Amino acid sequence: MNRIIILLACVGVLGLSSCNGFLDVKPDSSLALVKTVDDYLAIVQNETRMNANYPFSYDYASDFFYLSEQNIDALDETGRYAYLWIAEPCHANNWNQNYVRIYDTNVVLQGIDHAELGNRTESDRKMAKGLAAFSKGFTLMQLAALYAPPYERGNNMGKLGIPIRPSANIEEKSVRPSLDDCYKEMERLLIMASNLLPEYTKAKTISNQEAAWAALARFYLVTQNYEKAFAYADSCLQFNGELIDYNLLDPMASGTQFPILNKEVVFHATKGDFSGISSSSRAVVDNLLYNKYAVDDLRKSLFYRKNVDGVVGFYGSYDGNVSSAVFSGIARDEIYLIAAECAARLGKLDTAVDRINALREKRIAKGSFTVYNSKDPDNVLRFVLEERERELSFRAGIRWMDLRRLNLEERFKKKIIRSYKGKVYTLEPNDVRYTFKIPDEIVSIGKLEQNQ
Amino acid sequence: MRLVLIVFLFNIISIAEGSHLEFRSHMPEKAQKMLFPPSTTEGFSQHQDNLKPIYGLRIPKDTALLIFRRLGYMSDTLSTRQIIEKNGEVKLKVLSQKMEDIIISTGYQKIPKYQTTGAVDLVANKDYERQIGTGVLERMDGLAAGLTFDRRKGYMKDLQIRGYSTMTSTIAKPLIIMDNFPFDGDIEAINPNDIENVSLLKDAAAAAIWGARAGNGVLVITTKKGKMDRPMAVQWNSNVSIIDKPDLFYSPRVSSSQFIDNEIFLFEKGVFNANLSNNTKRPIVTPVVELLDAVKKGNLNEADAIAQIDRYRSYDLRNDYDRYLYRKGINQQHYIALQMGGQKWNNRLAIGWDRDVSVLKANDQNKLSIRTNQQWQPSKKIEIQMGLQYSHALAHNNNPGELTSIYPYARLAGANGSPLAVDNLYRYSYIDTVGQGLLMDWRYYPLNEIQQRDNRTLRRNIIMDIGATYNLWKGLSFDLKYQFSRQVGEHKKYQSEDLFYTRDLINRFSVIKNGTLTYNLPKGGILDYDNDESISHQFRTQLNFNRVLSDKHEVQSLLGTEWRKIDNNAHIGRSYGYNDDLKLSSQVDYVTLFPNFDNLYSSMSVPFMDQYTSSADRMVSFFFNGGYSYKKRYTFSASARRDASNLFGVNTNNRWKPLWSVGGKWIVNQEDFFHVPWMDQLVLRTSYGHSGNVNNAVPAVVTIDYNSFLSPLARLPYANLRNAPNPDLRWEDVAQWNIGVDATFLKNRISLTLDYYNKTSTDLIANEDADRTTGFASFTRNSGTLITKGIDLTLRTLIVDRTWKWKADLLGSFNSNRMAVLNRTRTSLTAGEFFVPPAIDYPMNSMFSYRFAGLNANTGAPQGFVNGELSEDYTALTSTSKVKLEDLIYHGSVVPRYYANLRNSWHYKGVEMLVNISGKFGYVYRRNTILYAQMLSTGLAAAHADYEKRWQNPGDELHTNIPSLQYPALASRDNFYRLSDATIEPADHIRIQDISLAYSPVMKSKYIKAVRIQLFVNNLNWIVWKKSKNELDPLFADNTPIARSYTLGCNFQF
Repeated sequence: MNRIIILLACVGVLGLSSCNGFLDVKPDSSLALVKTVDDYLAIVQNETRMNANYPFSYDYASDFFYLSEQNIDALDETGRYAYLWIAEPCHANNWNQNYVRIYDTNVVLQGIDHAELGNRTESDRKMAKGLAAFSKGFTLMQLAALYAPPYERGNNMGKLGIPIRPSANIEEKSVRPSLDDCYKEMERLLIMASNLLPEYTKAKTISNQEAAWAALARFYLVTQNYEKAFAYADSCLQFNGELIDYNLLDPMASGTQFPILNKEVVFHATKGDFSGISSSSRAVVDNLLYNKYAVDDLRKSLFYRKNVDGVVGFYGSYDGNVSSAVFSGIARDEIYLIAAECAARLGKLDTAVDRINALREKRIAKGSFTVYNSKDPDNVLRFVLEERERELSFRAGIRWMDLRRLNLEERFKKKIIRSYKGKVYTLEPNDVRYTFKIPDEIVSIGKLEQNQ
Repeated sequence: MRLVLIVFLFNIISIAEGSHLEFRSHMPEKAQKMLFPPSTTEGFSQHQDNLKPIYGLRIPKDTALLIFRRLGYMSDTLSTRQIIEKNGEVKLKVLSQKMEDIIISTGYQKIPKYQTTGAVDLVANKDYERQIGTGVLERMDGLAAGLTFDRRKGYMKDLQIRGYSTMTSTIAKPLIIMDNFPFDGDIEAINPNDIENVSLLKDAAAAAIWGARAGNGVLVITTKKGKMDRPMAVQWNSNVSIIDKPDLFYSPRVSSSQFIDNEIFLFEKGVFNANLSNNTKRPIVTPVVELLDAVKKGNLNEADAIAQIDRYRSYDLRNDYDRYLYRKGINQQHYIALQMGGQKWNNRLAIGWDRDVSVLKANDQNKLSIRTNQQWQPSKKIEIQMGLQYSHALAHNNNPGELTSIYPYARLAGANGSPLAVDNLYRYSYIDTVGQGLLMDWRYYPLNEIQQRDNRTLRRNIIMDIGATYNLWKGLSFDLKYQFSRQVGEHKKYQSEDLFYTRDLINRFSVIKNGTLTYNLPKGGILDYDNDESISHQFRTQLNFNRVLSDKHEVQSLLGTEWRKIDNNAHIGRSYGYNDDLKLSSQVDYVTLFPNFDNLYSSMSVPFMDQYTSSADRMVSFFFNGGYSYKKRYTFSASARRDASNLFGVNTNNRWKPLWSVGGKWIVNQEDFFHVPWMDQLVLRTSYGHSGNVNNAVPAVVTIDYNSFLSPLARLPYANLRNAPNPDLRWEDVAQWNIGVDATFLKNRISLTLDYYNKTSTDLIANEDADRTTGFASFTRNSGTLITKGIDLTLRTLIVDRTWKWKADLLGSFNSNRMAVLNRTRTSLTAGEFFVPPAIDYPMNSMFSYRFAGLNANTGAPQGFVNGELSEDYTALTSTSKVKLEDLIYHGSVVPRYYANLRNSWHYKGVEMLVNISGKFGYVYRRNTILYAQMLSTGLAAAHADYEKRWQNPGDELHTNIPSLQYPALASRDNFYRLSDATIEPADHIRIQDISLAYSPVMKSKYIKAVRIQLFVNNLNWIVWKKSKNELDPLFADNTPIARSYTLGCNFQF
């Protein structure tokens, strides 16, 4: 009897060694390895990480608005630096949150080719990859407008771009490539996206081919490659040229006339906003800009409203948000304007006039709309650029990119001025402050070269 | 030669000198352990008369002396003649607090303290029961050296043994063992009255048997059990405590009047313009600002406004809180236990009922706990133990507590006590008119909320143990143990239509069109519920070998395996349009994006809550522990253990963690050469070994975390990438070396235990600096090494021993650590981490400051140094990239490095008084101060009272350090000052925290065996001495101190 029990005891004590299956249980049910195409899609379908928190500080520094002295006082310091062009690093979130997105897209770009298909198809795999390429390319383009010097076609020697993080390997050191290499990478990514993305997707948060073309149109405009910019803008408009007719909107209605994901939106994204500067009750539209709207311009009453304190705020954001202008995606009106501008620059005056009239027809009160026409290329270009200001000023980064780009041309140079507490602050054309300083902690830990 | 009899109390029946000794033991047969040297057991005989067995043994001829020794009793040496003179009746005196009588439970074995080589403290039942408190762990405060509570979070749940050994706060707690198994449940479910004693396993030799989870030390809680051969006994305990309201005025802040002056100033500066003109979100505008605005617009006469404002100046919300949110708390604890034991079985049953009526009105808890233990010995070979514990606790939490975002002159109730509305979320002038009378009332009445909320949590726990021991052969036994536990929590929060949250949500989802109202969210209440369940199975097999091989050799060893499986499941859900009477809920459209009423928010769908989560914990262990004693003088021990758990994605190599320890002990006083008349006992010990910490929450591979909801816009499933890859993830390792001495002097009137230890914790999971460009703020990796040194001292003395007695126990500890490896440069002074900024070569909980260089004599602006020059460039002074570690001032630790606790007790004829004096030294805290950026904004919080002491005129800098007011405020100017050395206070202090007075009359009654009546005063917060001149209590800094409580308790034994 005793021996049997001793034997049993020994078996009991020592016989529990085959237990690896027992230990393979996930410690947390929500933990999952990134394995299938579904998993990769889930990463790029994350709206918080893919469609929100785009850069914002460039809008603090642009000329389409001003702040009352009290509201400048009320800003936090980094907001004040950006607004008054003080050469100090501004909000690190511009950098941090956007490089989180770049990591996410890198994980997808790196792993998607080997992902298990599961119950998905190859076209889903292509879409996941296309979405990642699009987001990475678009993010880099927006970030470069802050932290890389303005791109000047054929004259970028010695200029540094921003880190492009070629892989998801976190051990890899960040380096600043040349400005040209940086822009080449954006181009490569956006072209790759345009080849991979489907024509239609479920919602405008999920970019489609049209969105990639639109981003390419913006990209080539920024890099002053007007032929390609025109070609991509034209492809977009041929695919879908639908605009909202502002005549059908009611300026007296409370709330927004421009719901989220409205039909003019090509790709939906929003920017971060940390000092609350984009709030409709704070940012006052620049007087010069406000005066550029004719009386019968419907945008004047649909975009702007008088705040209780008598000053005019912007209420026309395309993201369905009335209280602050945070739309940072691409809408179709921009494509019309890119097509028109490039056509004008390329000497296709008829096309330019045609595009600008198509847009204006939906913006000017019925009955008062008159067809614009001119045979003078400079006149047409100036008209288009003015229309661009009227239409796109409060769209994240667009005005800033335009200022950087247009200052390169003698005829469009603009000095911008602000005043605060009796002191006048100016930003001269092509000032080094058109390139923001990289946040301190990035420079010190990542050992990156700081901007001037 | 000497003969050792280890017998409790016995009658010598007959004795013939040099030949034969017969005796009868008065010990119950089962509890009796008799150890005879083998040479004497020859001829050992045993027979029984009608009473108890009679033992007899042959004594060798040359034996003149007999040593009588028994655990828990003073030994006695008598010659056979002396025994005869005493008519054969030998009684041993009871020993108090001597090493030999202490039995330590490690959770795997129970061994007498003299056989352990480790640093172990035992908190005896009588000490434990003299503490008051509903919490099991709280009662440990001040009872063992090296056991400390980190009170930085304002409560006493974070306890450490010998300081911190890890940098992850979630695992920075000792392993708690209940009887035999690790206890992971809610410790509050255990009734402290059920606890017999607590052993603290502090060093490697003691704790290493618990292996990979023992890195922070081990607390072994032993519950009360029945005993064999005992008549029925009943114990009844009742305590009633009254708890004071907290002192709401403790934290200094400016008066309502000053707050209003500041509002008037800001109004003139136009700070409120944006809010006043905001016609989208309609933020709160305080009554004073409304009045000022009305005057400005000409809608109100200035004199009326001033009169009204002056009324507001006299209100202080804290008075209303005190009156309407708080009350005196009353806690009751009642406990009855019944036990009895026969020859072959014993049984114990205990029932406890606690009722806590919180100081917060409408919050209370009722708890019932039942515990029963059985032991059954069907034969000499088999012993079976069973235990069952059930607890049932229902808590109501209906008090919203102090309101956030509320101005200091708000009132909760009118003159007659009727509830008043306070501003919440939206401007009142807006909500009063916007609904055209159709919406639900949009105002917020905090007092109504208290009365009408229904927020309850029911927790039920059941723990079932079963174990069997089979004695195989001469000291070899086999144990099987199994424990099942299930903990269930049900939380229900019903918010009827009368509550603000519900009305607000319904209003926001309402649409008024052409004077008619449609509800996109059904009217009726909102019911939130969450249920969680945790089921654990633990199973152990163990082979023990405990034997005295001759009078020289003793062996205690065990070998075993353990499995552990814990599964947790939780579900959160919500119902709308819920009617609590009919138990009906309504169908809701969760898909459509509805516009918010008047576009107060962007369009949204009805918040959907239905979420399931689960987690699992698996562990497999093999362990060995062996101890060998030679002549009771030299003891050696060794342990080895291998653990594996379900760390996620880890290489198998890293999954298993082997751990070991060795220890040695020399009982010097057993040596023949030891003749120190004033010293009774001298023991030297040393040990070295490894234990570990496991953090299952950190995965090794890149994982994604699927969100339970669809994405808000595209309505697609989505996931977050949640961690950086970390292929080298492994267990944390704590190596500890300990040397200790135990000594008693002057016939045990003084006893001393002194331990020195040195811990090296390697592979600590810590945040490493990351280049943000990688997408990560930091990497969580095994990257830290922490070296800790410390001393634990226990000195127990009986100072006066006459008709009155004075006992004083001094516990002291010193603990100091240093980060030896850390791949992190300091990122920020306010890293927001629990383990405030650790820097290499500094302690883990270090306090650093910017160097304050006084105030500018002309402007009152705070100054610092940039490159050695005075500077007011606050960006440079606070920039994380510009300020280097060497620019900062190091102040020391934020947790005490020295603890001392002196427990005095005086006894006189059944009256006992206990006073606990405790001291904490060698640390600092940072006090709050004025933040102008916060004060000069539209925020609603009242500014810190330092405002009153600010620099106002040149010359003020001579007697104040508090910067001048500057408008507009610079947040970095505030921050520089707040984080400078000007706000550091030394926290060293000595306090008397608890006092108790007890009376135990001598009982002559046949039925009542003992009575004890006790009065406690806890949390006296009486500071005897403090180093800082500041008024704050260093134990609580800026947190409101725990309020005093008074307890009356009685204890009867029948």
